Amino acid sequence: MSLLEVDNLNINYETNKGIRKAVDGISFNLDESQSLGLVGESGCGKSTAVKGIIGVQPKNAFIPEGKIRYKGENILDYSENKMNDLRWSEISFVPQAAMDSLNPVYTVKNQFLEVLKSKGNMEKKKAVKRAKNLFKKVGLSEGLLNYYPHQFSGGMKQRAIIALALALKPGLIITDEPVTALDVIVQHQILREVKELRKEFNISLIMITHDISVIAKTCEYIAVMYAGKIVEKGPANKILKEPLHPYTMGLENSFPDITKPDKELISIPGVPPDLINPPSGCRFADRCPFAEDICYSESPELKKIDEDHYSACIHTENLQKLRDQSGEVETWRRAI
Amino acid sequence: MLNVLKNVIKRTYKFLLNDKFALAGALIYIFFIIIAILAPYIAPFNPYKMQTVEGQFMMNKSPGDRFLLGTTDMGRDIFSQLVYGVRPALLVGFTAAFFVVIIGTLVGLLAGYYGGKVDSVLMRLTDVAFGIPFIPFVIVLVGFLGPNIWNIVMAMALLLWRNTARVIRSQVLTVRERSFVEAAKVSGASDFRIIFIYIAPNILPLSFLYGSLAMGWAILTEASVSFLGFGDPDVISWGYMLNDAYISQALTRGAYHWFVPPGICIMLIVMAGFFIGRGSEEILHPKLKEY
Repeated sequence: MSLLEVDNLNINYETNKGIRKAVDGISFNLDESQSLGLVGESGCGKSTAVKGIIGVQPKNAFIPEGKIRYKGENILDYSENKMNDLRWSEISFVPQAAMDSLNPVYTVKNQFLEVLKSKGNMEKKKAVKRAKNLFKKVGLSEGLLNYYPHQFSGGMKQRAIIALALALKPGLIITDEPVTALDVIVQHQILREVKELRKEFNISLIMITHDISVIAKTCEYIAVMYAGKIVEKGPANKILKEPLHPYTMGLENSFPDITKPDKELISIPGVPPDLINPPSGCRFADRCPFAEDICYSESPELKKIDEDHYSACIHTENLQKLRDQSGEVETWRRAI
Repeated sequence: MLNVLKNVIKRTYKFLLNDKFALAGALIYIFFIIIAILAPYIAPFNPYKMQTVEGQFMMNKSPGDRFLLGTTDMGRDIFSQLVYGVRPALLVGFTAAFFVVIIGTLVGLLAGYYGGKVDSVLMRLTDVAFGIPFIPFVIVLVGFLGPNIWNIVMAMALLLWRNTARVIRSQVLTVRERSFVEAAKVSGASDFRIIFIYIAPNILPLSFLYGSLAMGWAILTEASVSFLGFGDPDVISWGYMLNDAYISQALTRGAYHWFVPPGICIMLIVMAGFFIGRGSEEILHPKLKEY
């Protein structure tokens, strides 16, 4: 049985222009101690999807359809109280810009103790010990516990936040852009620590990022999202080496390669479609250099192409040719 | 909690050393507080007692060896009155400031955090409070309830919270959108906890700033009301002394030793309040220091 099953999840936002389908029928599974990376450009529904999973979406969002099963139980049916028990102790969420989640007027220790005492039902003595332990685990010295958040650097705050997320030994951690604001060296250290901690505590991970290199380092599985849908999912190494969907190809080409400094970066022209009235066909068709007539009228389903590797595109054969073409700037100019 | 307090004291001390104005304000306050506590030992006479020397009534005496600042036209020792006058001034200042901080902060917190109807009701109430002229309101209420120093304090507390409430509310509006509040909400903290444990400490410096300003206002208002003759007749305050001097035409007689000292004292203590206020404002807005 999977730890987390997301089945045909839809999340809509009610705006004054109409209903915006931010997440449109996504499904994925996550096994125990597995890690999944959600990639895609800004506004494609990654954050909305995970916020829906732990039930902290904004007030104007609602879930018309779909199931989210955690350890077999549909948590969408949970009451707010029951959800509260689940959050943090079972599913931890590290939101975007999580470092601001520390209250500036209390010491970090205070905030650790609060969580451990109220959610973990620990006595003070035990909680202090645990806080120290957690701090050591994420590579911070114990003495730093008595500091205020503003005395920390960005990397230290992020580590503290990760330690807080681990505090109650959750089964699943969801992180939204965990290392985006940090420099590469600190990114590397933190990602390595996350990896080790995951192994140690047997924790599953969902990581949102638009940095493919971050995903490559931490995640076993990848789901690529575009305009509210998952367009490709599969094992990380397969997706990185042999992308099936043109959007994934474009995404990978738009990252600099240190071995080819002169290579011109290819960005995907155009912008994602408006999700209030999404196009009826493939949502990527407008920007896709390989789009055919059928792409504009029919929306492709997520199909199994290779073992464990799914893609929602009409092109299923001769993909190597597409991959080669997608590496050239001219191909993408053609699309507009 | 104790740790936080210790930190606050340590930081205040450091801050005072850096800010000469705030230091001056704090020293003036400490000076007056000591006098208020030791008043019976410092004042040479009972301020209410009409003085006689060898059976002779000592009225309108100029400053001299026996009466440091002379006597009033009723033969009371002015210096003793001045010393005892510190007590009502500080009493009024501190209690009024206390209530202003409590009421203003509560109203601001609730209005800012809950928004919507709660906000509308509380803020319209604040608007009403803003529409009432301050000193006439105090005079009328004291005239109505009787000239008692507690009535004066209450009258001031009933109106002075309005500034605090508005400013606190606007501050809460920004704090409640910060991530740590969101984090607290997500982890299931109650509204009560979020308001008082997470948001309140973040806006407390602002409350204190308005408290120190309210202190100055309260002392000034008490003096004004007493000077106009609506004060507590049983309590000798500086305002009462000025009123006394004014009625017995001390100015025409040139009895400066009677009304100048209480005037200076009022000025000093109000000034001290504003200095401290200015000091804490600089903590909140460090850029002020550049000007």
